[in-house]
Amino acid sequence: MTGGASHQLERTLAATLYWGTWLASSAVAVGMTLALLESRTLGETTIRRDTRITTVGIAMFVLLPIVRVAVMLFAFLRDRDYRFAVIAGLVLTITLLGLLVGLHV
Amino acid sequence: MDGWFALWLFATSVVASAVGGMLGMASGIFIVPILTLFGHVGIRTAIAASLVSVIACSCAGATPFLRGRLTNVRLAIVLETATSLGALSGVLLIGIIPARVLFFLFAAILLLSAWQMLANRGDPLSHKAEGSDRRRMLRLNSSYPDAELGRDVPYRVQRLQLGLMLMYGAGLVSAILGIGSGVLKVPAMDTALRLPIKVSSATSNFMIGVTGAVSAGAYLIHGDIVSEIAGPVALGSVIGAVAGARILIRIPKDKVRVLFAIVLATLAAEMLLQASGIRLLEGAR
Repeated sequence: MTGGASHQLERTLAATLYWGTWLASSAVAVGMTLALLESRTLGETTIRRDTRITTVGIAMFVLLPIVRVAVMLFAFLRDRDYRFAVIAGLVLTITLLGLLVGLHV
Repeated sequence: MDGWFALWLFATSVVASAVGGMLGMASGIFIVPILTLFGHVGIRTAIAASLVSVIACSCAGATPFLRGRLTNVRLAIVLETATSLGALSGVLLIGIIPARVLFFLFAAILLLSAWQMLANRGDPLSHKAEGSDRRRMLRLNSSYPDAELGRDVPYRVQRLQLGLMLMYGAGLVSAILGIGSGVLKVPAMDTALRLPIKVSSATSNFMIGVTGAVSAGAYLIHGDIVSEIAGPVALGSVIGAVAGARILIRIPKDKVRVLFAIVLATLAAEMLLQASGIRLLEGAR
C-alpha cells in the first residue's frame, strides 16, 4: 500500500495535467480563432494563414506528459525512492530519444 | 474553404471523442479513418494529428482519476518503460512501412476492437498472492476507493513480465497507427496484470500520454504535424472527451456496444478497400 507521500504526488500530477491542458487548449483555441478571423478578412487572397500560436499549443500538449514524468522523477528523488527515480529517469530518457530520432530520421 | 475544413475537423473530433469516451475508448481509432476516408488527408498526417489528440485526451482525462485515487502511478511508470520503448521502436519503423500496409494494419486493429467491444469485460477474479517478491519490492500493489462498496478495495499486481511484453506491443502499435491501442492494453491489464477495471482504465489513460509523446515528439521535431489539422482535432477531442465522460452513465450500454461494433467493422472494411486502392465513400471537401 502506498502512503500519504504518494497521494501528495497524485495531487501534484493532477494539478500539473489540469493546468497544462488548460494552457495548451487555450493556445490552440486562440491560434485557431485568429487564423479563422484572418482568413475571413483577407477573403479569397489568403494563401497561408499564420498558425504559429496553434503550433505552440500543440507543442505544449506533446511536452505535457514529458513534464509529468519529470515531476515524478523529482518527487521520487525527494522521497529518496531511488529505484523509482531510476525508472522515471529511464522513461524520460526514452522520451527524449524520441525527440532525437525526429531530428535525424 | 480552409476555415470550413477546420470547423469540420473540430466538430467531427468533438463527436468522435465524445462517443469514444462514452465507451471508454480513445478517439484515435475513429480520427484516423475519418481523416483519411472523409477528409482525404494523407495517412501519415492523420496519424500524427491523431497522436496529438490522444495525448490531449489523456492529459484532460487524468485529473479526476488521480484525485479519485484510481490511478496507480507507480505501476504506470514501470509499464511506461515498456510502452515508451515500444513507441520508440515504432518511430524507427514508420518511415519503412508503406502507406498501404498502414491501412491494412489499421483495418486489423479496427476488427479486433469490434470483436473486443462485443466481448463482455468483467473484473478479473483476484488470485491468491503468488510469490510476489518483485512486486512487493517495487510496492506496486495498492488499493482504490470503491464508491459502490464504500470502502477501499486492495488489489495485487500479477504477472508483471507478461504485462510488460504486451505493453511494449501496445506502444509499438500506438506509434505506428496513432492510436491509444486500448485493444492491446485491455488484455494486458485484465489478463496479465489482473487489475480491477476502474484501476486499469485510469492507469492506462494516464500512461498513454507519455507513450504518445515519444512518437508525437519525433513527428513534431521532424515537421510531420500539420497545425491546421492537428489543432482543431486536438481541441475538439479534449472538449468531446470531457463531454463524453459525463454522458457515460445515461445510455443503455449493450445496444451502443453492438452499434459500435458495426461502425468499427464498417470502417475496417473501408480501410481494407482503401488499402487495395478502391474507394467507395466520397467525403465532402
